[in-house]
Amino acid sequence: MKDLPLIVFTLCMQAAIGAIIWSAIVRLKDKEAPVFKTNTLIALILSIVGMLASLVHLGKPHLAITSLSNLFSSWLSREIFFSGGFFVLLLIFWWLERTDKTEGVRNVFCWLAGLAGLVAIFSMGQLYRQTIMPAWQSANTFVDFYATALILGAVVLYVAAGKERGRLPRLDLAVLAIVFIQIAFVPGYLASVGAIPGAGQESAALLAGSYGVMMVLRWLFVLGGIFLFVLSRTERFANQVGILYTGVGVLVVGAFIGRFLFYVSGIPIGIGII
Amino acid sequence: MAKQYGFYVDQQHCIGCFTCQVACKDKNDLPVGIRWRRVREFQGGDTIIENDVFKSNVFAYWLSLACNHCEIPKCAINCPTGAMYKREEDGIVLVDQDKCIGCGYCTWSCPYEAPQLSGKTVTKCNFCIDLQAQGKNPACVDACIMRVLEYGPIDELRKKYGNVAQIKGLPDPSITKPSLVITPHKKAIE
Repeated sequence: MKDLPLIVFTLCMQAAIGAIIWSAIVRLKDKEAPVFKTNTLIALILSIVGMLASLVHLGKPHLAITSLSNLFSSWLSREIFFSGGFFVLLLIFWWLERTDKTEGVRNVFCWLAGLAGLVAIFSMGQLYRQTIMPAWQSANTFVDFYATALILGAVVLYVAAGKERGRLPRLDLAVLAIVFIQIAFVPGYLASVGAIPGAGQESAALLAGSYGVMMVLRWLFVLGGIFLFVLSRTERFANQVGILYTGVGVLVVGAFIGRFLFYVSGIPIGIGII
Repeated sequence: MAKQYGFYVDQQHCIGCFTCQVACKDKNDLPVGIRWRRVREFQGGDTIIENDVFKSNVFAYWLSLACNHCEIPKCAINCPTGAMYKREEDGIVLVDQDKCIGCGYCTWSCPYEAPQLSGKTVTKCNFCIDLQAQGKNPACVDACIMRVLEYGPIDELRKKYGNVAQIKGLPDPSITKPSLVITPHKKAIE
């Protein structure tokens, strides 16, 4: 689990970004929903946890800020720049919300943070696509990262809403649609990676072979979590948060397994395959 | 760029004695597990029965490889701090140990496995620039008992030995344009 810090970093950042994107969208209709402040606070905490986790994987965490030095050519520098930008904008937005500043200014910062977050996810995807791992070079990396952001972001917003989630639009159904799109990409992804001789074939064989069970488990957890998520919106469970939290737990486990599989499938084109 | 330095390997005559690898480790005092120059063995083939006769087409060959100080150094392009850089005067790719934060992104970027995480930072072949500054050869080149390793301006090496930088088992050279010339083993290009 040497990639654990990166799993935590990418999942937390994407969840925080997704939560802000969803809140910006929901805010278009329901301007004063009480859930927003909690949602922003959770997003803020998630991005702090994510950034702290990313420091753990560095040899010299105290020099982390110098990773901004190569914005000209490094997608890793850009990822840090836009993730940091997202965090700063989110912090300002959180403060504006707490101090009840005018709605217009608040909305501007909400959207600015969201946009910075979307670019951060793009940079994250590009970072992995620029490596020598065929499994990461695929466009599926973008699909996976953006889908994770929207799925976990909706989870954050629902958790923030708690018993008042009935006031939110049906994000659970939107998430279900996103997961179906994500699953629809999987066969094509496996086939295209498997068609790359050497490392690509090894990655595909790993995902379909020794990690095949885990791959199936991932989708079962994700779909199971969403099922509970949908169920929690029905009238019968409207006042119970237990089913929502169980769904969230199952969904997060699914997302974690998915990201773990992403890292283990990263086999480099190296030397020696003849 | 004034010059681009690179390595030449005569794979046909390499006997896999590992002396270059050991000399590199010794000269640079590398810890266990870190090898700036690595000798790899490639093997394949089979024994088949043809007309009731056993026929063998097994083969094995060696390749001694360090950093190729590439024309497109993906390690340096991707390095977020600028610790990994390409020297203007001779195209040698180096790591500034003070700047390196040990993120390991260069190890995900190099198809030749040259940069390696060693403790808190990444290290790699520095082309023995200290020895070169004294007018000496890199340790690996001097140590080779078969005289199959050479170094120098890559255009001169290419004029002398040709343009082969890809053999079976090496990544596509178009990815990073390595400063490497190989006289391949016959089985490495079949």
